[in-house]
Amino acid sequence: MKRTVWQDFKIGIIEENPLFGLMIGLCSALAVSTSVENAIFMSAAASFVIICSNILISMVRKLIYDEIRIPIFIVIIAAFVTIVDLSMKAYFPAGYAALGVWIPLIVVNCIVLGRAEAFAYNNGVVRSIADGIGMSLGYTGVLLAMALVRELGGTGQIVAFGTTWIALKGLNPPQVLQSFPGAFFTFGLLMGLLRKIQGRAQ
Amino acid sequence: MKNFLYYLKLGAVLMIFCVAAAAPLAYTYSLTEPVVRAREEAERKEKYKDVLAMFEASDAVPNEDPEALKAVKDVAKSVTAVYRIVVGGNEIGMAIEAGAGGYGGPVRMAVAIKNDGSIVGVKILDVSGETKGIGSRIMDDPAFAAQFPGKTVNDPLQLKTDIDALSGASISSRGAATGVNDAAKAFKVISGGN
Repeated sequence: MKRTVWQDFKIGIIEENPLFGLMIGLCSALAVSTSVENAIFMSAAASFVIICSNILISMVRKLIYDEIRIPIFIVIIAAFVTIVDLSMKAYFPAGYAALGVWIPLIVVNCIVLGRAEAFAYNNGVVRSIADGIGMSLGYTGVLLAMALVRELGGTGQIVAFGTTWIALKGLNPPQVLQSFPGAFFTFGLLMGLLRKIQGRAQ
Repeated sequence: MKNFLYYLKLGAVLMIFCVAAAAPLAYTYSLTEPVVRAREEAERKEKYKDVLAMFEASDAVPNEDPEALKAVKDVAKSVTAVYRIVVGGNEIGMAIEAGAGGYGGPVRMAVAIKNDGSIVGVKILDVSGETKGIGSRIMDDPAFAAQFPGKTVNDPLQLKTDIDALSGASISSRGAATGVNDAAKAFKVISGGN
């Protein structure tokens, strides 16, 4: 059964959400979801790379030989990641300093290579754009939700871009949500919650 | 069985992709490089404002003498940069940057030393590797850095006997003390060589 462009777009958001559904690219997601600001920068960077590499790979896929498709994907992805890396270093130094090595590591993020291999290599440009945007939204949504829980629960406030958006007065929370165990707790609980809601909907 | 020419073709295709990727990268680099460089220069000035205030000087000139820097590296591994402090054409002292020890990365600092070897101040520059609220107090709590002015490079600067560690932040204190000691050694090497 052939999917419509709308379905291509929609599937990445909940059903095949890269983090909660396919469960790929988790390492960096757990690491950078300590604050909402980091999550926004990381989602923006990853989304740019996912969408651009999807577009370019679907455009040149007829020129690529099967045996060397992976190295070519990596060259294309690495080029986009380097563009993001250089631009962030120049124009968003605070975000760049906070994310550090996680920006160049988008090159080896499974979501990007996964979508290139599983989708863009076999589909046209329009559908690949839809897939890229859907996956990016799915990634961004989960990252933001995790960051919200971890920053609010771990520090008692949400501080992003120099402004305090939410501050829970008189709360001195345990720091565990900010650390790695907290990342796993948050991830597991949020995924469970999503599955519960999905189960009810069916 | 695929022949040799076929594999050559694969290599050629891959090479074309690599060359094509290099062009936008070079272009992006040429756009962003000056922005990054300008900001780093401004950050360096900003960072050094407090250090320069200790000397009542207005600018620090990097000491780029390769032989002096190599000699410094031999005795004081943690020293990362040396600046000459110049006022009205006369060199009145040095600011020595070092990064040592620390809990999750080096504690970076600048040590201001006058020509006569007296330490006029220590400025902790970066504690991003330390635990927030614990090790990071080495920068936020002025008590630690305040122990150094008045001492000279020839005084013993041993942590716990001559210098007090911040309670609860002994690892970060040790890093900072190592950096100051290395800066003192570096000062002696450079001024002795002159």
